[in-house]
Order: sequence, then C-alpha cells, then structure tokens
Amino acid sequence: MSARDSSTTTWRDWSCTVLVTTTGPRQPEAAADVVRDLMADVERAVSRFRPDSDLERVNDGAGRLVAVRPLTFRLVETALRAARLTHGAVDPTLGATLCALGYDADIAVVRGRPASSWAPTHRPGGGRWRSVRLDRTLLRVGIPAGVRLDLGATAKAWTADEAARRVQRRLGGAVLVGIGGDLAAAGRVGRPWRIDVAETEGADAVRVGLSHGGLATSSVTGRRWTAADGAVRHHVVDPRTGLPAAGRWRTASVWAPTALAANVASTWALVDSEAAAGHLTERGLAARLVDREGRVELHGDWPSAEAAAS
Amino acid sequence: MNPRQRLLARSRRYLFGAVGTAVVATGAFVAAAHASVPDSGGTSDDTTVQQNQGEQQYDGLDPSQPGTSTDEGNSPDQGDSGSLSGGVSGGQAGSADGSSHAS
Repeated sequence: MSARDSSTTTWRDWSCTVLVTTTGPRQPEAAADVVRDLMADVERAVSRFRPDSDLERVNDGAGRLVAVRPLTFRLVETALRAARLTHGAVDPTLGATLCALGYDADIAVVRGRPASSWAPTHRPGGGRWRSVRLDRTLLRVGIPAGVRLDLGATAKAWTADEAARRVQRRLGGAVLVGIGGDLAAAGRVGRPWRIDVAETEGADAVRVGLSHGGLATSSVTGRRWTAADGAVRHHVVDPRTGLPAAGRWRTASVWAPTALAANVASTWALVDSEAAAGHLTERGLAARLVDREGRVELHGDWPSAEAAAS
Repeated sequence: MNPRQRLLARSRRYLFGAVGTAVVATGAFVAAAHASVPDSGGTSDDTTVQQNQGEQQYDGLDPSQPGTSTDEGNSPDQGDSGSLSGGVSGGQAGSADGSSHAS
C-alpha cells in the first residue's frame, strides 16, 4: 500500500488530533462521519467536562446507583477490567484526585489559566475502584461518596478500536484510526501502515510498521500544566500516592492486539514499571520505553533502532 | 378426575405459577432498587448487583481472546493469522500514515 491509494481525513477533537485513513476509494468523509458520530456518543456518555454526561451524573450522584446509557455502562465496565488487570495501577476512580491537582477542565483551559488561579490540594489516591457498583439489570452505576470517575485512560483507546471496526464494517478495505496518538487498525492491509512513534505530537519520531492491532503511547511529557506552587503537573497519576507518576519511564509506546490493551499497558508502565514489564512479557506485547534520561529500552517484537527507519 | 376437573387443576397450576413468578420478579426488582453503594471495601466482583451469567465478551484487554470490544461479536478482521503478536515491524520510507504519541 502506498500513500497514493489511501485517503486520510484529520481534524481536532477532544483536545487532540483525530485521523482516519482508508485504503482505496473508500469515501473518506463517510469514514470520518462514522468516527465523529461515535466520538460524540462517547463524549455524551463519559466526558468529565460535560455536566450533562452520564459520567458526571454518576459523579454528582455519588452514594446512589444512577441509570446510564448502555455505552456508558460498557465503558465503565471496561475501565474496571483495566483496573483489575493492572491490580489498580490504571484506576478509573482518580477523578477527584485529578481535579485536586488542577486538571478539572479541558486541558486547553487548564493550561490557559494563570498558575495562581487555583490552589492545589493533595487528595488521597485511588484504590476505590473495587467499590464501584454495577447493576447490569437496570444499567446503573454507583460510586461511593467522595469518589469521582475519570475514564481517560481507557475510553479514548476503546473508541479508536470501535471506530476502526465500524468503519471497516461499513466501507470494507483496511482502516487506520488514530485518536490523540492511540491507533487502531482493522481489515487486511497489504503492507503495514507506516507509523511515526514520538513522545509527544511533533517531537522526534521513529518509524515502525503496523500490520494489525493497536498502538498507544503514554507519556508524562504530555498533558502538563503549571500548578500554583510552580510545580509542573501531568495527568498520569499514581494511585498509590495520589500524585503524578514519578516512575522509571517517562514515555511508553506499546503494541497490543487492540488500542485499548496497548493504552492500558503503556499507562501501567508509567505508574509501575516493574509490574508492567512482567505484563508485557507475559502477554507478548511489544514496547518501546523511554526513561527519564531519554534512554530507550525495547521489549518483545518491537523493531530495533536499525530496523525502524527514523 | 373427569376432563373438567383436570382442566380446573391445570388452570390453578398455571395461575399459581404465574403469581409465584411475579412475586419473585418483583422481589428481585425491589432488592435491586434498594441496593446502595458502600463507602468502601469489597471488590467489583462481589459488589456487582447481578452478573450476566454465561456471557463471554471480549473486553479488548486479553490477547487470549481475539476480537473486539463491542457487543456485536467478533472482529470481522483484525489482521493476518497469528495476530496476537508481530503487529509491529521495521518502518518503511515514505510519508507516514499515522503517528502514535502522547496527547
């Protein structure tokens, strides 16, 4: 496959770049509409920054079981599975902690604030995902008082997977969907998709081929803001401390059979490098990890620097 | 027991069976409606009000269960056979189709 026989549409949403590429004459606008529609549904379901989203109704109704859309229920279930898989390292109950750290609005708004406009407060970390209650019969979600859900670690990647599958089913061919750097491929592709992997958008990249599955990058160098005390914060929180993760890796890029699995593994690597390394090995996932000094370590089938064209 | 008596006996069984089912269903509904959220503790497994028994859905997290994270069954095509590994390879020259980065 070459660039000549594929069509790409990009736009901005969720404070990030969204991309959908299809092979052949596959109606790129139709593909983009599928992705946009799904993203709108997901936003109505679980946006932390929309007062009318199901997620915010659950958060504001802490202590009660709140009826939600099937999509919301599924995304909460997915987040809880991620928490269980990672032994709580990827925790969906860190919403209040993120707010206390200053991340209580769209990141563009947070970054645009004067540093002194809010006072950071330390809140205990997560670990309360075990207390989230699910009522499958009536599709209700309940959280304990004091807890707020944030599905940021899983909902975006899930959406990339689902969007790629829907576009592929609607239009056929091979499809690549990227939402904020979470990539999902669907359909058979004659030659791997050419993917530039970077710590943040526009930074120096290494080139890899992606034939199937998902690719996700998490980094403490993205989604940063300056707190009132002058400290630079980022959005990857260690549930054990309630503070921004300060582990061995600053950036983790992971390949997995889905973008969701890749994102969970890459987030986990930033929070708990040792446990995540065991997971990568056990599941046969490929990863490129960058430490605080910029040194790179490769896991699994991730191509060597010589194989990856830069 | 003549045919009329048999018919009456059968009607009673159906009637009582239907009433019993309605009572059980109402009880389950009331119990679910009064469930409250604990302050802490427990696990998401044992605090789930009802599990949908027997339902096996791929959640997108476990590579031993290839498929998709949807309600609509397995993926039509997530790639070549042996798709649980080997998804990344050396890059090729040319313009990029996409990029993976932190947002």
